[in-house]
Amino acid sequence: MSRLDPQSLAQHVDRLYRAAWALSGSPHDAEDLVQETFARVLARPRMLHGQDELAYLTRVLRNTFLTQRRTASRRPVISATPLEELEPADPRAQDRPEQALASQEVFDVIASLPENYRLALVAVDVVGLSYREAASALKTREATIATRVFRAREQAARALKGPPPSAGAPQSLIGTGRSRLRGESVQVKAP
Amino acid sequence: MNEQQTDPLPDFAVLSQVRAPASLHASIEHLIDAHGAAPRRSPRRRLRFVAAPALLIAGALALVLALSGGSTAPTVPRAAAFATRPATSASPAENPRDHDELLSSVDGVAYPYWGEQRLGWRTAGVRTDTLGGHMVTTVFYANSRAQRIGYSIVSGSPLPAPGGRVWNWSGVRYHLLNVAGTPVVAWERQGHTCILAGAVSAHTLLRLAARET
Repeated sequence: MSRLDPQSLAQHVDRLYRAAWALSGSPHDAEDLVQETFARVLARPRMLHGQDELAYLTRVLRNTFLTQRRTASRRPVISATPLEELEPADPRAQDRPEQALASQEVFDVIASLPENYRLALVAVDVVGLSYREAASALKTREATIATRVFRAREQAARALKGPPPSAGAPQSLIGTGRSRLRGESVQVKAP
Repeated sequence: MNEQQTDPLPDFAVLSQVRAPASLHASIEHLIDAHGAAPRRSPRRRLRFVAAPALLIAGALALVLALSGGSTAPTVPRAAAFATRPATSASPAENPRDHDELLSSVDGVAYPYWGEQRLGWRTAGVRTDTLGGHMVTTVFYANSRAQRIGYSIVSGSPLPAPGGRVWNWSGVRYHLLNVAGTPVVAWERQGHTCILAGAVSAHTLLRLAARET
């Protein structure tokens, strides 16, 4: 058991931000989520029970995300000026719009995955935890994480690649990765 | 079967280039510094510490002001400090003639109505302070998550532009500052400096500020 060192946490901000964006599907919600996560962690001294600090942060991020989502579902939907028009999510993205679009698409696809798949994929592929660390962070078994990551990658790969357009299908029905992922009944063959 | 070796692997490499905004880095670093330097507290005192974030923010802003030399020159960071202090009088009511405004204004510049059913920010009191010959009137708003922000309008001529990051939107320049870890947005309405500050994300402040232009 070791004590979490607050001074070492700043190095994880970018990684947590990417994870939060992938979970929430919004760069702005991601900012709120990361800020709240760090506020929770820093509110009192923390002990790491055999966990790596990144795995610990991932666990708090996941809990904060689920809590915020539950709270939001009880509040009336609000409308406001879309900040996308006011501020680019990452101002540096203005210099590399193609890359920004590509990352936005990947975040959208991940955010559209079923929740359990999304959490597992984010922990392993976005944060970079091992299956064992992810299992600890998400409070489940390692084998479950492996299965969820497999399924999540499968769905994400299909969504990012897109189905081949059939001869008679209107282009508008092909849709984006986000809409394709909503049909969970689609059978996916293993590559 | 070893799924980790044979499963399909989408290309997530592009995500590794995504960085958190500088304002978020600054906020987190301030949080870390503030908590890393804090002395140990008893559990009872710690509870009080968690229950009074607004007081903490006010203290931090006051410290920034004290360290800035004791000058009384009116600046946006000094005016923003009022937005984190307690209210001293009751909330103004919604303007029955214009549901986007409150019945409270400074030199004709009205405060916005962001009530419960619309944006989720109900009014939570008012305070008035003076700063270098300017009256700074602050209306407080709170949401259902007990987050509180202050909207200050400064009387008289506008305060000097505060620097920070600048966003242009509909012809208005919004300055985003980080004052002792608290996001602050400052802009001008009808020749008056307006300031939004509070322990929410910069995005939330900017989104609300942009509704007023």
